[in-house]
Amino acid sequence: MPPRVPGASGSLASLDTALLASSSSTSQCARRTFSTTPATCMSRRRYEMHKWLNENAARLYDQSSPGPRYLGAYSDQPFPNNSLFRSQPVLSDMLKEEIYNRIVVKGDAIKSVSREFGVDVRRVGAVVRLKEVEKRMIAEGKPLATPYARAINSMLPQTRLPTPGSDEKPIPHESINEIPVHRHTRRQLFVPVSESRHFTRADAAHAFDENLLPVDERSFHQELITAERKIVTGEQDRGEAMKAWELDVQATEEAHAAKVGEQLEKERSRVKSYETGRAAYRIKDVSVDDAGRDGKGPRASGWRYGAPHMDRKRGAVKIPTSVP
Amino acid sequence: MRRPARYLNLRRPKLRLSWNKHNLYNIAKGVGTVDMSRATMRTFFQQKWEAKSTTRGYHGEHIPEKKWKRMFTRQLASVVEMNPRYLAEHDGSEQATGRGSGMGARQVAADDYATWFPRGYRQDEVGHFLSIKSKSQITREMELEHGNITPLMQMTYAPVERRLDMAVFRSLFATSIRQARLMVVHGAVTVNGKKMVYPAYRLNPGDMFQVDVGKVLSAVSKQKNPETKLETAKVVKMLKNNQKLYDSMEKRLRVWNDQFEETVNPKTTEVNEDGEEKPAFDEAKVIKKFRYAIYSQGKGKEGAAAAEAQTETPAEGAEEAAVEGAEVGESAAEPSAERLLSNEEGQELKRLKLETALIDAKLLIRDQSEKTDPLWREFKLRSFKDQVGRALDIDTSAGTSAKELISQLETNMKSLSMLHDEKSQSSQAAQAPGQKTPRQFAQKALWLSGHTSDSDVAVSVGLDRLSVKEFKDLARLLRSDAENPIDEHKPYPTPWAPRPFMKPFVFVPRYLEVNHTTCSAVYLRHPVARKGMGEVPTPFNFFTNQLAHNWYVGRGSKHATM
Repeated sequence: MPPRVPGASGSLASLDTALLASSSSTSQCARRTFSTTPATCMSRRRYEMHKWLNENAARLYDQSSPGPRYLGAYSDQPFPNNSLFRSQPVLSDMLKEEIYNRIVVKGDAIKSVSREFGVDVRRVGAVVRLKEVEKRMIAEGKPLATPYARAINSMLPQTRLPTPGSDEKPIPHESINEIPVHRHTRRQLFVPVSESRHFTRADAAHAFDENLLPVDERSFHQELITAERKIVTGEQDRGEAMKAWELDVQATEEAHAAKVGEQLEKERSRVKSYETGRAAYRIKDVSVDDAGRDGKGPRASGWRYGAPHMDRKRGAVKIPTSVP
Repeated sequence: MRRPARYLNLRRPKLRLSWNKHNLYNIAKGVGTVDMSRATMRTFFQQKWEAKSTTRGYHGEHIPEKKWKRMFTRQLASVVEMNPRYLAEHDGSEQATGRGSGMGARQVAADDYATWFPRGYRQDEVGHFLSIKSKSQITREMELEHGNITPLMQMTYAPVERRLDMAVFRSLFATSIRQARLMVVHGAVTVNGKKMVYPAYRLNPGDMFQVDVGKVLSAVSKQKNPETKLETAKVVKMLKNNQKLYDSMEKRLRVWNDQFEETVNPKTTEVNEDGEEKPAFDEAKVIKKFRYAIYSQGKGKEGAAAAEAQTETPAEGAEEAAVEGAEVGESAAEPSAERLLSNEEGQELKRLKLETALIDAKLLIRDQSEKTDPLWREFKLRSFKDQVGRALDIDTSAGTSAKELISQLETNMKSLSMLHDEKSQSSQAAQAPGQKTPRQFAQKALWLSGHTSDSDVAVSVGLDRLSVKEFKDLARLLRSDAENPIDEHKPYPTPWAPRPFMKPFVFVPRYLEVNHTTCSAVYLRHPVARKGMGEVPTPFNFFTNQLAHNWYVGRGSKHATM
């Protein structure tokens, strides 16, 4: 059927209304009453948005120019309304590589690397893990997202490694000794003590909760605090104390690594493994007593008759809470 | 939860977790601002309701309200920087002197030792806030006050940040929360090396997650629009042309050796003073003839008839060539079609194939100044790789490593003496009389691929062999191309380019450590608030979040912890 053209009866009137509507906020252009094609009208808001995008966004947020660029006046504030959130620098790839080399190749202590570059110990660990994944993927010839990484890194603020060979000190990336505010210390507490009492942090912690440790003992850098204390009391000068601290953390971490290695070895020796062409059998000794008196002990191995399968139970959340 | 209608709209806008340009515009316009000067006009309930509605549109709008309420906790995490030097110098007793809050007005605090930004408001910011006219005086002054506190209220939606889909979005692996969710559901995300299909999985500190690289590349790239489809068509056409050329190369060589070798390469060549061989014939004409000979041979006996028909075409040059071609074709086409290539000719064919491939490479290396369009370069490189693959019988589709290709190319070019080594120039002069010089080979390759010596390509390519340095340049080009190759099969336009308007959204919060090269990240710890800064990336200011927090304090779960 050919498209129907509206008759002349309504044309003048509708033209009039269309003209009127064009001045209102919703439509920008007058619709032709004789046209059968739908009018490609843009609302005022849409028009303004495109105007803004063409005028500002395309120019300001040009992807090819390096460095971050956020909405608003500041170079580190992504949301103009929220000045309490800042885009903080990320570690540059060279710095990550250096951290990896120091820990894995040179065998430095995590804590000394953490202090040198001003990077949280947890972050140092994460950097090493992630670099290991990267190196494994390269070795296996797996595809990497190199162009993507390059684009993203050019848009992010970065903490960079000082140029090798120069005397510059690395710029600290973050605070290395941030202590979480403990749940017990969030309440207000009035503890009457005598004026002469020397009331310290440790006492305050004890007042909040009997088992709450003072800040010094909740820190990742306990050894560093001890070393600083030696400097304050005049027992050692700074150079000596820091040297002793380096040796101390190195020894501690090596001892820890040896302990973990031993544990792993012990675990491995407990399992006898037989490789066939198709499968590897891993055989472990179990105790029959684990089944308990009723034979339903949760630690026992194997399927036990009568013990309920919780994984099929209605209403229970099936989403795992941790992945080992 | 189903995506609500008018998800991104301009009339009654809500901010969303998305890099969409509508969202960018809405943030820039100041959507979601709560003006405290209007507070007196509305009831507390109204204010809270509005704040909760605005903030929930952004923070996990894909999570049902009931589930969010179960996640909500009034325990808000914060940290304090304790400099080891402060801890060594003071045991905390200075805080307990006097009436329990320090002795004098000015006492030492951990804060004085803080090495770390931010220490209250930056000076320039104060000026900035005072210069804004649209904000009411009250809001402005209150914001200035809040610069020096630990903004716990900004942590209201911290539990949402723990979710796997949220972490994927915050690590910049997806362009919106719904896309991130889909990545998880579709099995593209692993947690600690195991596939995790639950977007609601709550990450524990130390968890490492990784997203499939291909998925990330296609998510964060430009869209493949009709224009880029044309690009794909161009690549496919180029590959087809290459295939045609290489498939017919054996036949072409046979025709050329049988019929044109003598006219083109008489035993004695004229040499001018520059040491260049001077063609003593009308080259354009010969090539035209040659093309016709191939054409008519392909048609077999019908070729002659076609030739006769072609003599009637009005174009004068073509007519002439056709007539001459027909004469030659009739005499020689039949027997040469069945002739097998000799051993030497087989070797020559391989070399000519490589030489033809090198035309594109030489264009790239020697012609850089004229055309610097990156897309043109990528295109030529893709063509070169394809041709090398055909010459050397190896697979050169986008997956092959550049290293392998380069080593194959190097060994082959060395064995065929196609590299110009400065040291062995003397050996080049002493060549057997019957053998071709490298320049003659290059010339022949140009002819076989249908170029005359005065065509643009031939002029910019030249007849010289690649020098060792040029080969190194080529290897470098191939290596850099391997990172971002043209590949028409990819779901995104190649070479990969970032999505437009994404720059204002690019930031990585500190509770994540991300490696973008492998698309993997570690969830270091839960987000925290510290002095002057809340780590939860929220576009709303302190008051909006505070009101939202107040909404949920009475309604959320009583026992949930972070």
